[in-house]
Amino acid sequence: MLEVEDLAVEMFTQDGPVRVVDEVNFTLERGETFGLVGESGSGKTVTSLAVLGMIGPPTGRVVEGSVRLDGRDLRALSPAELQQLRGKEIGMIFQEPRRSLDPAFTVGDQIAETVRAHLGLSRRDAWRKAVEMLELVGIDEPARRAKAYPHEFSGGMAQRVMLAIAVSCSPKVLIADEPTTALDVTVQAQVLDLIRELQDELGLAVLFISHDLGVIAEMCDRVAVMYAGQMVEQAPALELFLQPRHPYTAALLEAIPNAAAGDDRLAAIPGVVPPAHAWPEGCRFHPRCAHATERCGAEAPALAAAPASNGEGGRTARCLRVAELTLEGVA
Amino acid sequence: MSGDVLLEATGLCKSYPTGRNLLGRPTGHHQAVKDVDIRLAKGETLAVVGESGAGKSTVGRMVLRLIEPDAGQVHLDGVDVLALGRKDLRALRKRMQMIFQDPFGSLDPRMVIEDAVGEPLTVHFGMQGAERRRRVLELLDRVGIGEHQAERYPHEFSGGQLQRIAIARALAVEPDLIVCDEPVAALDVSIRAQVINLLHDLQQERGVAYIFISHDLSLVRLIADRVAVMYKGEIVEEGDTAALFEDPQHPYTRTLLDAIPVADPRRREERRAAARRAAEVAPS
Repeated sequence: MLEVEDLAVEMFTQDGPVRVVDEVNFTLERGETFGLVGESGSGKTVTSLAVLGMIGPPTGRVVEGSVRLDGRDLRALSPAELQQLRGKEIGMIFQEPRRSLDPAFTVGDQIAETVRAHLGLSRRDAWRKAVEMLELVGIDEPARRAKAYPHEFSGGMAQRVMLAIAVSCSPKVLIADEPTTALDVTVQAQVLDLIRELQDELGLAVLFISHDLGVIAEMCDRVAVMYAGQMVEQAPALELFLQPRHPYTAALLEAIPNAAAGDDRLAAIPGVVPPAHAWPEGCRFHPRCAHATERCGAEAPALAAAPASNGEGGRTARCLRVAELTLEGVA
Repeated sequence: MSGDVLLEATGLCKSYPTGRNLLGRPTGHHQAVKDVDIRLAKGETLAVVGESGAGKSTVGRMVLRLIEPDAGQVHLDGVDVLALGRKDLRALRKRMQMIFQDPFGSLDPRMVIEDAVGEPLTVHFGMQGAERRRRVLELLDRVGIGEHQAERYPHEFSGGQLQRIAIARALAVEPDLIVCDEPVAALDVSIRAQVINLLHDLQQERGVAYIFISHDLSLVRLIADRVAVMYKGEIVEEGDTAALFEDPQHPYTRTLLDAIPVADPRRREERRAAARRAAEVAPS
């Protein structure tokens, strides 16, 4: 349904344009949750903004590639058409729900405004729809709460309001960028549960972005791991966690605290994530990789088919040594 | 708890005014911390866990007297911390340090890191010149920062490096206790381990005790000797780490443990069922 092909994005900086994302390919099907996982600066958020058509001058531009929703090329749409598409066909929620809401309007007004703009409802019908949406996302006394302002909501409740706005026009796709990162762990569990419920009820395809492998494991059907602007591995979630094929994925899994392993030290990845203007030659992960050879510093690997050891397909990895390495997943 | 008692805090309370009238008089109070007791042995790690607003950070700061408690006692090695005058308190700061979540905010942006790490050496030991420089370079080397980086400013470092520099600064005075307030919450996963391992190694080498304030229970499980769970200003459960995780007694502890995401898709169904049970009892 959503197809992203060979996407590349540049951001304009003081020192000229810098490539921050390249060779990004993925598809998203109805009812499916596709996860993008990676550390800060890996290109997850830029990828999602590019899908939404929200990267443009003066901040940056999409250099290459295509984004198709049900076959329609989103890069060919005018700004006005894109604006109509966002909110109506693609809903979105972000990390800081209260910052995404306008403090000067009641939450009911903000939901109503969205449905008026996209569905052309009357004021009265839009308000009724707003109350209905608040009820759908599990807010008690929705008719009364619709008249409250964002500051009267806790972080978790504000994220429910954002979800109400995001799904109010029955979009096909929901983009959720670190939607629970700022929330407490018990509230996070509730919001994740709500996203799954809405997905089942509305048949949403979800693009789920997170740095937290635990959250990814609980939410996603398929997962792509991003590092330094590229996808380094893509696989069904179960296979990715049990049998990673890229050394970076394996290193991330190993860095998860695991008391059961009986070790009181954590596995660390040496060095730091390189900034976009200083991506290494060859494989971008090679300076930090435990398995790197000389060839890894010279030759840039492509994202290539990487069948699992049980022969199952549908997986890709960007590693020159993929055929010879056997990596550990979660125990 | 085993070994010699380093810190003993009893009956700590703190409340904040929630509103003020025209004359500036408080109209109500929020009890941020209620009757909290903390005991810590030398070289031990006590984790204080809980969600935002539970009072974890307030407890950490009251122990160091960065916040004055409304009531309660704090003794460090038998010294009554709350009874100390300003000068004696300053001397005691040598023994108690703190590191914060945001290393960008805790280092002076206009000071090169050699001076940032050297400042406590001058203040507490009157160290200057070559002697101070030698000691600073030793400390930086210990946290993995090279001599060639000593003249740089904080903005030239990554978050993980800055947190290691903040640890070097805290270590400069050879403290017995460091309160670590969410020290890795702002760091990337691959960098987190570098900082946690450093804290662990320093404890082995120097016998420093930690109060480790965190919302990350899987991390706490790995590094703490004991855990205190806070909920709405009170400690609702406290115990040895293994026992608390394996057999939590308080319903809130159970809810908290059930809510930790597990990086294993095989356990998804079982986890979703647990989440639904938790949702029935948890406040939202």
